[in-house]
Amino acid sequence: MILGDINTILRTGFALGFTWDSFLIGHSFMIAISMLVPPLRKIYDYFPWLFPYVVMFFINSLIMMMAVYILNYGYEVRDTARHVFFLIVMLVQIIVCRFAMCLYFWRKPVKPLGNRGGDPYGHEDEDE
Amino acid sequence: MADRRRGTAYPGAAVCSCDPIAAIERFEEELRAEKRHDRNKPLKRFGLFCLGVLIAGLIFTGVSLTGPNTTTVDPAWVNQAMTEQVSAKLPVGYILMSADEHLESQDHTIVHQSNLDSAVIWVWDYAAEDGDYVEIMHNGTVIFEAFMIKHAPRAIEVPTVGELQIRGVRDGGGGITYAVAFELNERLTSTVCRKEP
Repeated sequence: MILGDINTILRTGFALGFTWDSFLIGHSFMIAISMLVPPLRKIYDYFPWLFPYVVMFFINSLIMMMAVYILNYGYEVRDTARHVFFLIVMLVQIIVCRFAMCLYFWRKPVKPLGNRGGDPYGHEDEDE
Repeated sequence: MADRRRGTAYPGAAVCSCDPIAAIERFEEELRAEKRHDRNKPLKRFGLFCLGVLIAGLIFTGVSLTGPNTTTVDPAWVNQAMTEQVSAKLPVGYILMSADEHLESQDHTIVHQSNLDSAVIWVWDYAAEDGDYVEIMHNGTVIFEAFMIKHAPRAIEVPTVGELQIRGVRDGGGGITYAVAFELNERLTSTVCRKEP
């Protein structure tokens, strides 16, 4: 979707009439309450892979939304030099942000949560 | 760990006369609670991060939505602007409607006694901000490249004499709905609302 918008802007030469604000607000609200409200937090116990998936998805979406916003701003005026400048700014922003994201997750990896109700010592398969 | 499961004492345990099995169960429960707490920490941390993004997004969106129409205006001025499509009283950047509705296209002639060679005009989208583009022409020559009109007015310096044309370039949907405010001698003279099909 977001990549499609970038393609639309580049192909038509015009900025979009909307941005992804509502998408960002809606998703951040849902993820925040799912992680902060204890009864809703249980879903991450049932699906241990969900937490790293949500984290990576949200941060990726954030980076791409910033890219669309930058490109949209640059294409608000029909000026080729301005278009090229903001296209370069957008590419630099994507590279820098993704590099920072990779560095952060290399230092602090996001791991799937342990199984629900498992052995508190984490040695379920160990023989007594 | 095998020793703990058999119920024998482990190093560091508090010495008490109570049932050792109950003590071990209490200890295991505390360990589970601590593990749950440790496991929930990254979730809470990321949840707070998302909450911060949500608040920032709401502030940013709220500012952009409520910006132009914070001043209260007389409804009669709004009605006059809708019928005559000219107003000397509405503030710059006033949003007349939330969706693109039909208005007639009209040309306006502004007569002034200013000695200045240039003046400032303000151009904005008075209806839905849907990606309409306009360009400014003076005596048939483009003096300002096509730009997207938004709720926030854009100030453009134009010559005070001659034919000024604001031409629609791209319709984002529902017609190109732009308003123009002319400022001469630092006074707002009139606001013109126009919709191009």
